[in-house]
Amino acid sequence: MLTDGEVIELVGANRRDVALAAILQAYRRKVFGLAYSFVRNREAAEDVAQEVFIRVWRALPSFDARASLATWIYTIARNTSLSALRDRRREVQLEDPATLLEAQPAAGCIESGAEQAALMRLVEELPDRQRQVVLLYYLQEQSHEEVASMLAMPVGTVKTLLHRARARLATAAGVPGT
Amino acid sequence: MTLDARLRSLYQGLDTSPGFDARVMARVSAELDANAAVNAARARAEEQRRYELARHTQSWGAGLRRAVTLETLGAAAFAGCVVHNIWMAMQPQVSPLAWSLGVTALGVMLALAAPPLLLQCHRRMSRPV
Repeated sequence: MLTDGEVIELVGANRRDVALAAILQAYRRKVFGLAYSFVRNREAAEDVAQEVFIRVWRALPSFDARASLATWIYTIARNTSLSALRDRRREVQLEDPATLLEAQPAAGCIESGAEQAALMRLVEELPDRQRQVVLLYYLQEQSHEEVASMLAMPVGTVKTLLHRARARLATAAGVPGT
Repeated sequence: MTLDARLRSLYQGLDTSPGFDARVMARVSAELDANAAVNAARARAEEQRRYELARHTQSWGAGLRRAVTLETLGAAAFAGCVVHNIWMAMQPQVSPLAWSLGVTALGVMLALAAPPLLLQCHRRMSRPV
């Protein structure tokens, strides 16, 4: 994974494509997850993620490392997601959780599809911010700090939201919290 | 199975579809091509504009219009008055023979000087910028 300085060096050496390839490798899933947490539709999230990386590529020459590369990319991702969400608001279609589960590989999955779909529905019923925190936290075993950076929230807020979401889900699903 | 484990397994496979990176890089490549085409068209338009501007500024009419200012008109009128006064003062002293010789010499000089000047002006106007 490239450091911020290495990215700037690559851009300075007119090798933006190499920088983007490295950025894609490091941030693809995180940006996709962040986009999905906003638009709640797999195809739309993929479109948003693609747009995010194009915008990142266009803006790379202006990246000056005043903020970290991650923070910068997440800001672009949030803005793009919110913009896409506004465009889609009139015709928004929330994805059927079963559709999302079908698209995921089943490896390592112990639960039945029906149980997973039920849990997914419970997550979907959470308030927006709780749902986003849960998704991003469990997407990649992310830290509270990283989720806070992705959503531009204080770490304490992330912990609180996650705690409330877990409690709510545990009650609704009838399973132990942790 | 704990809630943590269930949530982890729920999202572990959430990812973009295969070929996502290639699609992004293809879009980047297409954008680069489009930018190159736009830049080339812009450069051509700019070159054409400069050419037209240079042609305009090199034309006879434009040169004359640039030359005719209040200052040059004033200087020409002043020079005309001076020449006229000198000529009026000298005219009685100049013999008719000298007068005709002077006019002839002036005519020869103009005839010799005009063709190269005209040729040079023609070349400057027809040369690409």
